[in-house]
Amino acid sequence: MKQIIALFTLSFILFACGGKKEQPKVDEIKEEVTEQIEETAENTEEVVKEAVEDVKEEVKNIAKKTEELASGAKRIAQGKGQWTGSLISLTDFVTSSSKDLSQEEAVALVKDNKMIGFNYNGTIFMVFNTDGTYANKSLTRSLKDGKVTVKGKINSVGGMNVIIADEIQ
Amino acid sequence: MKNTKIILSILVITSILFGAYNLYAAEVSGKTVNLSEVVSGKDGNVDKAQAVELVKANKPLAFMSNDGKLYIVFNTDGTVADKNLARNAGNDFKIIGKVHNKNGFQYIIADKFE
Repeated sequence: MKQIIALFTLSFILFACGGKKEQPKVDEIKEEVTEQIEETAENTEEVVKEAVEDVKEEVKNIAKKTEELASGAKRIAQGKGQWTGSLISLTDFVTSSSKDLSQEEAVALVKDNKMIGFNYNGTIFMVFNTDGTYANKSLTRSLKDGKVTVKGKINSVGGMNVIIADEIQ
Repeated sequence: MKNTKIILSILVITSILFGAYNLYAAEVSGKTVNLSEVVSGKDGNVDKAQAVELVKANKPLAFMSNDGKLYIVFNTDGTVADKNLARNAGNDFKIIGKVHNKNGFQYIIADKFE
């Protein structure tokens, strides 16, 4: 009987000591996990910040390129001259990619009161007659083999490229 | 760890989409102008009645922002937004939409007029 009591006592002591030793391990693991979570959160925040900075930088670059394109167009534009180009539908241009119009297509667009743009070397101009009216009809009438020649003066009005046409051939 | 990667990916993609949207999305204040007059060197100011008459006569209207930039305004379906410009003519108003300068052509795809 004494042996059995001694065995129980010994088992209890071992169990109690063992339990006390396990507790710190659980705490350590908890701490490690907490640290890892915090570290991951910090890393995530840093990566997101970096990604946002990258996006901002890319946005700036694209905006700069857009400005450069616009200013390039203005450089072509200033002054008197004559330019041979094609006609495009402005609605198609703003909603998707546009193609050069044939005379039949241009006539149909004018009948539908749609706006037509003049495409000279990839730069889009709005063409007006000298009295200020929009030159949709004159452009369409003079379109031959997909090309039309506009004589006049190119201006940039409020950032918009326009041609005041003296003559459209 | 797998969840963290997914969350991170979502955050990065969201940031990129947000950045891309902000590239063009804007709120522009200004007024409706008679494009033909502006091109001829006049101020192009029109009131609502004049603007409606211009639309009826198929004369182009444009939007002059407060910083002096001139835009052709389109609805989201690609049609010219002359009627909306005429409706708001005579007052300063805001256009919420996407501002573009494509191949030297300045325009706004308008989501909303306020």
